[in-house]
Amino acid sequence: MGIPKPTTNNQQPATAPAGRYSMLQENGRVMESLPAYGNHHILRIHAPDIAATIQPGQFLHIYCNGPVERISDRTANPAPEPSGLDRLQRKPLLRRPISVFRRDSAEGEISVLFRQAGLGTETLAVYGAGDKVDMLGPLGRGFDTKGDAPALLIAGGIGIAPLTALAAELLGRGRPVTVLAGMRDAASFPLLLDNSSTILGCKAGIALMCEMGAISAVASEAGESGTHPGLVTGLLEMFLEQDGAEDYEAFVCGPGIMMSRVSAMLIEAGLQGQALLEERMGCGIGACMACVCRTRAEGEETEYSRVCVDGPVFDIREVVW
Amino acid sequence: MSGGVKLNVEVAGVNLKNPVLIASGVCGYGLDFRRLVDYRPEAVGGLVLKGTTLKPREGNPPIRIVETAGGVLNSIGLQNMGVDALIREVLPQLAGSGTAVILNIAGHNVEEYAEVAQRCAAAGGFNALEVNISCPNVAKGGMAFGTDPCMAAEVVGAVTSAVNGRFPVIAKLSPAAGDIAAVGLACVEAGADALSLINTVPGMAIDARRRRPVLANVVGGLSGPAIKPIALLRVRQVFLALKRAGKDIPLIGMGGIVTAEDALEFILAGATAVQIGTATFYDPLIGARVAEGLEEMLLDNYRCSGREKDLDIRHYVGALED
Repeated sequence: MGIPKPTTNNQQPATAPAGRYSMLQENGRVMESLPAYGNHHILRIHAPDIAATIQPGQFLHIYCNGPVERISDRTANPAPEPSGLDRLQRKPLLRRPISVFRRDSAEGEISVLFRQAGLGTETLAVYGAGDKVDMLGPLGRGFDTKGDAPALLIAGGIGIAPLTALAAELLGRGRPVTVLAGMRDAASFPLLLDNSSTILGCKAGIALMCEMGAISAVASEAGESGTHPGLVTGLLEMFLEQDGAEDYEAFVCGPGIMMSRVSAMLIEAGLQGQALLEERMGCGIGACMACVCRTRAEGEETEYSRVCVDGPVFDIREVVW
Repeated sequence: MSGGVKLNVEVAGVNLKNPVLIASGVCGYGLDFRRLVDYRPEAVGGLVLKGTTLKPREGNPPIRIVETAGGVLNSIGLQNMGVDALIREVLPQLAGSGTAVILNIAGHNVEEYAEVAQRCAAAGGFNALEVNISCPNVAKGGMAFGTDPCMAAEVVGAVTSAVNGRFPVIAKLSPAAGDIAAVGLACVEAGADALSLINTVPGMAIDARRRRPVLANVVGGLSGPAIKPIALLRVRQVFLALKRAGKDIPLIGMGGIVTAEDALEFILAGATAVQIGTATFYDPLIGARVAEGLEEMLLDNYRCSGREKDLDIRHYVGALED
């Protein structure tokens, strides 16, 4: 495996993300509902007000109560059987926080890529084209993309979703992007292995980032051909051995244990870094104090910070892993 | 108010423009929602702020929240900024917000409750104090104050003495009490100007695959539509007990309210006002929607009956025909 040296280009950076945000409740319209790979799913949603301001790393708080109201007739893709609703015909009560995967401000569209992990996300996967989807957003503190260092994106599993939005932003700002991704096996992320793969016209994850100009390497626990056998930390170890690695700024998203180990390695190697955390949420807007993580400001005692408003993106040195 | 509907009520001397309050714990300190476009605090009768203790508390480790069938189980552990920061940083920002502001106070011994109440009353800048008596009493081996009439009366008595008539005191009752009516009566005897009920129902959730409790604190408080029938019964029981005892003390009902119809059920059971908690998680503007829904329901009733009093929410309080 060789990781090419970063090159800089002279593109002008895009406008800086707004510091203080206001949030909206917007009824988006599903434009396309695509099974992605394994139990992962993509929704492309027309929601111009949120799409106008959402930044990479911010999230949508989606009310996944099922496709109850259709904004227009379904054109294609009849909804699959609502397997998630089989259990007592239950509907989720709480909204589900889901990171933005792609945004297209000009078209007024945002996409989310999510893993069906329970009642909420299973119900969300049932939505089809034309269905109304009730969202609060944009929420949370996204990635700070203002630096000019080359970027190292480290993704574990579904952590690839918010990092895809980030890669688009960084590349647009002329920052070189290298992606290290870890997955369990090819079946859980088949698109990683073929840069030209598309599913119903929608590219996902690494394939998309490569198309945009990122450099990538993939680790697979199952060790399929074309991947680095093992964990993403193995790839990172090799990366950090290279000259100039400490000049990169890292951006991390994945399972808690993975982010903890990756952050320790990055800090030891002297890299700056930001990590996007995930936690079960109530309100999503800072009021209920449910979604906390332990953090420490320099020279201060540790405290619980709210993932929804103080994050979900934190400096890797701020989090008590 | 359109069509002559009257939604204004008075609870313990506080005039509320409508009977819909946002419950403690779901609206923080009343400031977080301000980032939401279309948020109008003046559309609800009042906000009950996050439970506040003498010293700041960092709360319980995560996981703190989990959804269960028809409800939400939480164990935040009273993470809060402490009463001094509340007075200094929050209350000035809430002045002129166009709605009633009710502080919710908590403690782990009687003296702590009294001290928090005293500091709030001295500072002013709010309309009423709600006392969370569901906290564990450290002096009594962690048994919740609200489960025992004597302990509940002791806390409420200490708070009312500390407040000394400057602000109305609302005791928030726990459904964990064996006899909630007895606890309610004890609070009233101790000087409570109103009672709010119910607090969350103790419960737990288990992750069978990991063979572990879902919440780090193991025990949480269940809220949401799952507890509504429990809450309605408690409100009715306390309402009837107060009536039998000849006590004219208003109740604030809560537990799983999602719609205007839910709110009206609580009012018919005996509540003068209601609080909405969990439902704000999926709809932060639900308070305003429920208030508007009540207005429509009253108007509909009037259109059917032709009776003027059907336009006035106060005529529905406790009007259950049983």
